[in-house]
Amino acid sequence: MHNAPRKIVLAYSGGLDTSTVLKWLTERYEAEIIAFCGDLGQTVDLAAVEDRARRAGASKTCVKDLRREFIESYAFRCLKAGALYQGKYPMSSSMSRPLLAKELIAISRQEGADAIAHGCSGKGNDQLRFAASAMALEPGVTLLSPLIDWPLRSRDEQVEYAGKHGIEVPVTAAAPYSLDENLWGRSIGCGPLEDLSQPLAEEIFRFTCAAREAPEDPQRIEIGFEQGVPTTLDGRQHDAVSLVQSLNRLAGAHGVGRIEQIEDKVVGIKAREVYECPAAVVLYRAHTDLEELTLDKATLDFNRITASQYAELTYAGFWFSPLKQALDSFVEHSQRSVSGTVTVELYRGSCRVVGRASDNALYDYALSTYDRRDAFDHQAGQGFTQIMSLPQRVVSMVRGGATA
Amino acid sequence: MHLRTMPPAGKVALAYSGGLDSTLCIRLLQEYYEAKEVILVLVDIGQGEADLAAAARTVESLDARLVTVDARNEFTNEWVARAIAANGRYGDYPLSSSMTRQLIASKVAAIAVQEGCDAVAEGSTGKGNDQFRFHNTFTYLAPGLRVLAPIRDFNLSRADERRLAQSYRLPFHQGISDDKTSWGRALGSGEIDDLGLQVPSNEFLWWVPPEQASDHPSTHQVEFLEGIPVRMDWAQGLESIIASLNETGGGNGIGRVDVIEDGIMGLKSREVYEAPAATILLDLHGDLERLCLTKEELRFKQMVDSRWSDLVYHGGWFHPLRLDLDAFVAQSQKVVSGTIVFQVYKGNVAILERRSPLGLFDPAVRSLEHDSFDQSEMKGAVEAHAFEYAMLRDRNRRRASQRPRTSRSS
Repeated sequence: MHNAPRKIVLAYSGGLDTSTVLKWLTERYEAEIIAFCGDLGQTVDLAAVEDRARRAGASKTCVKDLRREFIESYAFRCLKAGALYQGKYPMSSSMSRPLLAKELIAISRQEGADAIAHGCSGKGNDQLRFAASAMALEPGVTLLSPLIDWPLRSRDEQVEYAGKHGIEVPVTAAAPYSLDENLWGRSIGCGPLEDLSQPLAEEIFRFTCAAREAPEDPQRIEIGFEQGVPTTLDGRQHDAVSLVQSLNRLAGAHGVGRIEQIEDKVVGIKAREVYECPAAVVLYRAHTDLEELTLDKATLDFNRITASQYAELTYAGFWFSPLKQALDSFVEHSQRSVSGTVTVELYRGSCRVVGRASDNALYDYALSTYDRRDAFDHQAGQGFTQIMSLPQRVVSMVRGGATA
Repeated sequence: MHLRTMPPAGKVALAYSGGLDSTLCIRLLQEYYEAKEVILVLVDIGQGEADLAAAARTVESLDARLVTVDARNEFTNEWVARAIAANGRYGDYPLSSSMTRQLIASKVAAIAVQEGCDAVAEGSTGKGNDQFRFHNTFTYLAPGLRVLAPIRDFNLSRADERRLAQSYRLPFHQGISDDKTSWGRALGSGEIDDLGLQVPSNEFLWWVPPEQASDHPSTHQVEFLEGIPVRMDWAQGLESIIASLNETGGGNGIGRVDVIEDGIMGLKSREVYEAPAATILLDLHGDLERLCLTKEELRFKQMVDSRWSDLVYHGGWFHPLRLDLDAFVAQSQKVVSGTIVFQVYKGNVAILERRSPLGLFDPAVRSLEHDSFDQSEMKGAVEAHAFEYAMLRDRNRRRASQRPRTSRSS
């Protein structure tokens, strides 16, 4: 058992959970609390968040703009790897935890704090993401998980505790959902979603409109990629943050970006999760298409394996693991030829690729075409076919013809 | 035998080894392809002075210029070193000729381009894997040049080849053929078609049968730096480690590999290899990786290694995916450093000691003698692992309760 911490850095969002955690920590440990809020592009008034932290008892607050790092070094890495958890989820929330943990460790070193804390429950994935990331960076770290340790068993008890201590309960706490938001996406879970027979309520969405509410006219956008990284929209250079912001707006307005899945959580339970990731959905679609054009078959096939492993590691919070680093080396190398432009058409909830062009394309019109310009040697095709079929012929010769 | 004349080949660079196939190619190129000039490219990949000298003597009377390229250093440090890091095995076969064919082809291509040749040529038969390895490499590195494979293109059988060699008065070896590199030998590739045939022990260069090997075990140690062997006992550098281990390992009955192999086109063949150093070094490297890499890395790297080996076997050394995979491998190997002490004895390699400052085995965490981690924390982990079984159990119960009591026939 460790000594009671005297100075704690808390990952603070301004919501009900972390506000009550903040208060509870000051009571439980009589410790000095530094509230850290990472700006990942969530729609929230950061000054108000700081103010709320101070009122809940923080001795110091710290807000840091992490948007660029988050998109460039986290989101775009996953994009390049083609990593989607269980084939669907762009892991917008999963990726944010390692980055926040990294900042918590950095601040605790700067401030000479002796513990870090988060407001995650014992049932979700985030506790593991924080713990695995923090321990990867600082093996001796003391990580407090008040939501797991404290006596407040239910949401009602928590609201009551907040009220008693004059903690303002934000409007979102009244909503029955669990929410997490950043520039790369919004996660919506719990509450009414837990009833699998119920369709999704329209009110849960913020980034996207319903497909039937979307404009009647489709919209085309040309996205330019440089070695796997999106850099232009309709020919105009964008920095990572503004590119994602613009695409979120454009695609969201066409109802593109909603994802719903029954998801296997790290602790081994299934949950129904809903995400809104307009920019991510469009960028993954375009990036995959560009890879199909510029990468050879063997690399594409192997990419599926690396993508799935990359997603498993990222989802579980093993962002700073050696395997993830080795996968990054593979991804960086394989993305060198993934440059070019992809035009997508957004229309009523769908995102379709309608054009692609690349100097690195492996597509050869003369080899592909069946028209007069065909350059494929059909004689070679005959030899190839005979030899390719030979193993089948051997089986058939030895065992007699197969039965259909 | 009547061979038809092929379109004139002009100036040709031929991959030449001194063996029957490539020697015969010289004459075929001169006679049936009307080659204006044949440049013979003999690449030294560690087959030894005697083989190289014999290859040079064989062509003294043939009207062809011999160019010798010393690729030993490149083969050892650029190819074999990567094969060790990627545990390069195809089945049980430590990749050797699969690599050298492509290395040789790259040298022939470079010389052909430099000399302004019209074609590149090689002596593969149409039944093996080597034609793919040569052709891929030629296509990639000698753009626009014709690729000739006379033995295959004339559809010559081994008997046809012998007859032609006799008529041209070319010397040829009567026993089973042999392909030798410093990293291993292939014996009679594709020729041993009797599955009951034992390759006589005098066909082996280093290997002796375990029953004839020394009665005394011998102990050695190899030091690895970032996945590459750098020192063994008193030997420094990979090249001398390999040479020394071929002797020591072979002398102790290690390194005879006899396998049924699936060739590139999916046809099975029996292959016999002799690779004492490769067998030992790949074993030691794998062992050190198990000490230094995480569980997840090891699991994933098995797939990377297997894909790497497949690709290289299939003639994909210059394929972009091989380079991508090597980027993964190189990153993973940064921590694979340490020393393995081992014993060789009558065909066995026994590991006696593993030492690594970067090993992840920590007795303080693992041993029950220490209280470095709180065992009670395990309860939660174990229970979380079992959630899935609880759900599966409940589903079984639900199913059981829904099942009709008596079974009816429909």
